[in-house]
Amino acid sequence: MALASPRVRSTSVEAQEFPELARRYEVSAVPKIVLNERVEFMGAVPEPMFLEAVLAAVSEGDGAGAAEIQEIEPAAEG
Amino acid sequence: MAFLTDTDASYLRERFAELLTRPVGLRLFTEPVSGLYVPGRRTCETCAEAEELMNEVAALSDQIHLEVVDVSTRREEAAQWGVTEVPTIAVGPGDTDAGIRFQGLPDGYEFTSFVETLASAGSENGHGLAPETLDALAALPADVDIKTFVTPT
Repeated sequence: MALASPRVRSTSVEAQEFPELARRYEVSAVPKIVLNERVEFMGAVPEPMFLEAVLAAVSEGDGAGAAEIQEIEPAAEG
Repeated sequence: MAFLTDTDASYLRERFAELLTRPVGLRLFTEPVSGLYVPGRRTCETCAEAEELMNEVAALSDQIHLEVVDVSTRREEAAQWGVTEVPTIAVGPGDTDAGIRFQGLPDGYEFTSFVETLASAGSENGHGLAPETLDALAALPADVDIKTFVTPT
């Protein structure tokens, strides 16, 4: 998606090498995907569902997406 | 070859010859490992390995261009590319910034994702997305930052 849109950036983070980041985003299992610090889900999902998560991440309001995608509170720094 | 076996290397060389139809830039942001312990300062444990792996990958195809950026001397460039941690690898078509980063050493299972991303960046429409997805992405009202947390095992 990052290749297809200048608006999308994608970073793959090796959780063991960057434990502070993993803690900040409460990573307890992988792969964990976090979009705009607002939407998160676990594991690989089909393309339409991933797109829903992307749209939820930029939506105004509560950003409600698919049932499998849950909103997260922005985690505290540190 | 420390990371790739001869079998892996020849397989990847064939795949890249087939898949890469345009140049791909790999930009490795790293820092020299001094071996000197400085209290309170985090040393980069995988920077040397990342550089070795990237050199091995870049040697597999003439379409792959590797640029190694030492962030200790080229801070501005790191800032321009939004790089805050090392090692970080930016992958993009040509020398452009496609917003794709691998933070940490992409080995183990992650190496597969890395190779797939490289192959996608090196071919027209390599993203493989459906037309509906492309339409939705073209209409995005704001930027989207995707972080994917992974482990090598």
